[in-house]
Amino acid sequence: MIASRRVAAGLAALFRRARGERELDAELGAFLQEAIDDNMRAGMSREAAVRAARLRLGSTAAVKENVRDAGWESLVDAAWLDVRYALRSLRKSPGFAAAATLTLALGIGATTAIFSLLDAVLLRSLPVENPEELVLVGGPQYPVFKAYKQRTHIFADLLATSGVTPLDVEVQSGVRERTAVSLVSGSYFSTLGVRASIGRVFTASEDVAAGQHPIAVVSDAYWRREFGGDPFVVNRIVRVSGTPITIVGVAPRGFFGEHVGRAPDLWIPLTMWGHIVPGRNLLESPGTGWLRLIGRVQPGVPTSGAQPELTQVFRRTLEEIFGPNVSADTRRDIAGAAIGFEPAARGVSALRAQFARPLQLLMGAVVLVLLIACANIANLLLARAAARRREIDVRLALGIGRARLVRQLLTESLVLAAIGGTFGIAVAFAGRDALLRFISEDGSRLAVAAPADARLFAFVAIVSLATAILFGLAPAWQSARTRIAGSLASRHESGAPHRHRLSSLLVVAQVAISLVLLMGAGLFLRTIANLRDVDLGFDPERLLIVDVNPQAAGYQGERAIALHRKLIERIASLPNVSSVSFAENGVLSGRDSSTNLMRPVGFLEGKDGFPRSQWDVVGPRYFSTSGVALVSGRDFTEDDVAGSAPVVAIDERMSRVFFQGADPIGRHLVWGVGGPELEIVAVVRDVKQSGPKTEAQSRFYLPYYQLTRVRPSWVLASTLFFVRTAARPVAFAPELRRVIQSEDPRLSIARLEIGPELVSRTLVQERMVAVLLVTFGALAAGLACLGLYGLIAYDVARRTNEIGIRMALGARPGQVRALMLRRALVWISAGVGAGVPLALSTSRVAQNLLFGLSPTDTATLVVAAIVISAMGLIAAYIPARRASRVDPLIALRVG
Amino acid sequence: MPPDPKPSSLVQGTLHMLILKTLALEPLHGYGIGVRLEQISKGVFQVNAGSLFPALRRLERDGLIVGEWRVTENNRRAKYYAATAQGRATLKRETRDWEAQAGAIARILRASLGELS
Repeated sequence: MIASRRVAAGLAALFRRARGERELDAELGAFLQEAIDDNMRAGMSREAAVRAARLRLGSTAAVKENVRDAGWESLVDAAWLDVRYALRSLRKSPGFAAAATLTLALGIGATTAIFSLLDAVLLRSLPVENPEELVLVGGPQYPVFKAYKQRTHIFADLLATSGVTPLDVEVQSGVRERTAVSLVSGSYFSTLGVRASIGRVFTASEDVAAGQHPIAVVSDAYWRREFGGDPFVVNRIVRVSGTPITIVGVAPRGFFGEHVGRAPDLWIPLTMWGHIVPGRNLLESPGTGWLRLIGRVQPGVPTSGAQPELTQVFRRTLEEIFGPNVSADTRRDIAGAAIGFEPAARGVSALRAQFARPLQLLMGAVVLVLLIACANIANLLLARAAARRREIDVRLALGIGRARLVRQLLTESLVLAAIGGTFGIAVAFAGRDALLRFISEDGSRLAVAAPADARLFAFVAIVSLATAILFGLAPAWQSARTRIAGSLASRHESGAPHRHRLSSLLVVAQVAISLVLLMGAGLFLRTIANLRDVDLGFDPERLLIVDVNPQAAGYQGERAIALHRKLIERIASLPNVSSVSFAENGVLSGRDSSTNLMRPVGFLEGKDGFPRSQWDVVGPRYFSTSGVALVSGRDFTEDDVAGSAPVVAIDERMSRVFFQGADPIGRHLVWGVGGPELEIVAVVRDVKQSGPKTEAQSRFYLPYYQLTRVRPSWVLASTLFFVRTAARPVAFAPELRRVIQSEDPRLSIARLEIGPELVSRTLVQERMVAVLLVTFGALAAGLACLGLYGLIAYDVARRTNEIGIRMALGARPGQVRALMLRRALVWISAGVGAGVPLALSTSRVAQNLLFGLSPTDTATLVVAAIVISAMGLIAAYIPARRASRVDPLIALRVG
Repeated sequence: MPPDPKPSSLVQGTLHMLILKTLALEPLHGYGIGVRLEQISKGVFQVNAGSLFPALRRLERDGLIVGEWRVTENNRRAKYYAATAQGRATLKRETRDWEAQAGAIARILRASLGELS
């Protein structure tokens, strides 16, 4: 009650200051008059009465000051005064202000940029209703999803989604574009609690009949980009893989689906799968796990209670699907399944798995940079305090309270931090956008929810406040606690020894932290070098990978084979092309298939079932085109067709698994039971299919032209063409597109990529960390050197007199230089000494992110130590040289 | 000789209680409050304006007293303060607390070993 009244009265006083002042003046005047009257009534002369009354009232100014201080609003006044004073004094030293602001802007900006990414990828909840209620449910088969909905009462609502699939979409007739499409159950939007901003979202009725729901909800971004934000977009028709689809609604702004970092442009009912997604119709492939289920649990259902029921429903459904004649492997999988759920409030994200550790690591690193920046500004403030010694001493002598002085100096730090933080926001936005582009796969800005919202500004405010306290408190405290008399009397700064101890400590800490960051940068640079040196088993140089996707244009079976033959012929006839082939997956495509059904005739099942192998369907000359070396045997040719003897190629690892060193050429493999026998015609090198970090696995290859005979049921989802060029592939795309589309105008080139680029894309995480750590390391070392430079320069300035005397007495310039450098050497050695154990203990956090070297790698540490020492010595040498050039005459006269 | 009665030597918060007491008796202006306190305390407490006015401001803000501009007996205008109902209630409570504390302190100061056994 009283508190709220005090707040109100304080605010009233702030806004009606003039009136309050007038009233107080009148009251004090009345006081004086009453006192005079009283005194005269008691028999004093008028003169004496006035004097006595004035004595009684005391200083009007002091009384007024006291009254003003009675309320909290006086603090606002004082703070405003301090801020104005701080701004004035910063204006007086623009160099200092600029240096400090820039340092802070970089430090705070970098920290905020990393934080906003960390927040978007790791911390932030999905932009949906009550995200904390969402759970990710195991059981990725379509029939299992239906069974959960029909046979259990665990979920209030349950959705299924296919994730994001790239499909050809025509908004304007004739212009096909690969667009991110997500196929979802009718319950998708209702489960997430997301309503359409225009039109409607899907309903449960869209789950009923396969192929009967040619409708779509578009994302807000897609709506703005493709339809110019047209408010009458509902009922417009787009073609998805050639099928006309009617737009029924627009999703709200900021809704990016359930997958952080993969934002679909279109949502289409799952029941449309068979009509718009080329390849196998997964709706009719009941045993295939391809969905992601997210549910909202009924209130009152405990997590522990739900698990047995879900597991039971899951097993029963799968047993119904597979029937009694299931393989031992599948039976084991079904019996061993335990279905539960985990929180899904923050969505699902491959990005999270990939970037969680790196982002945490970078967050730590950037905080270290910020600490170094703080140390630097603290040092600048200490130097400034020394220069302002007399001003501060005069104010202390005139009776300013020490608390008040500390408050004033801290206000100066806060003002600096506020300015730095403001510029930091701009740095953060630029940095974050650059980072998002850096880690996104196709060069576009990655779709994560990282808006410039109150959360971000709160973070900037907190960081700025923390830095201000960090760098401002020690110098302010130091300024306020010195004795007055001595320093006013002498013209040398009495604060110097104190200042020196604290400053040296700060510089030593800076060197130590810089060493940690440089070590980290070194570790990641070497990791990248090691990854680049990895033998992939194929040759990515001068290799083009072209996604033509004839299946999307309707080619299947014999027609598809004929088209592939023609395309190979036409592409091979282009100038500069030395070889062409294709594959269902292929190297660097990021795709792979696996089976445990391929084995030598008569191979017996082991305890763990049959060995698993990766496999691929490839065109003629695939090995020579992709640069996979043949160990023995021959490459596939145009003549490996349905009519010729079935053949297969295996890699060395598979050869070891099945033939234990015996020569496999001429032996036979068979697909499952009762398939045709395939003669092994080649053994090829192991490949790291998806880049240097992948493990090489057992792998076999089947020729595409023979597939109709070997695996009639296998329908290719798509094919990628591999083109090896004679020279560097420059602007090859237009020519390639012309050739391909002259064959069939419905064919499009969805993507065209070059091998080395794809390899380096697999290193994007390491490269991001390396680039940022090198930047942070350089920034840190630069700041540390600046600190060191400042300290030595200050030392030289302070000791000019002494140096002059030494030189007058015969000291040589070299000796003077050594004198000044010795201090720097002591600080650097101390910093490196403290930094080595620090680096060794903190580098362990990078353990799992490094490749081919230990996090405590000695060589890297030594190089980092040499780099920081050399940089430090160079920084110290500049003022030291200045010292050695002091003219003794001038030094003594001026000093 | 009475001890130096600086207002600051008053127990913290006591000045508020004393002002409330004088105003509970009758409304007074600033100068009047000072004089009245001096009279009642027989000159022990001399309240200077630098303490009196901030105290009045605080009491007014907390709603324990209200001020009103009136004509004085010397025919001048001055701001008269009067205790509100809330002010009187506060005074009653604080007086009771004060008496309890003062009694306890007095007993402690008078204590001898004999009384403890």
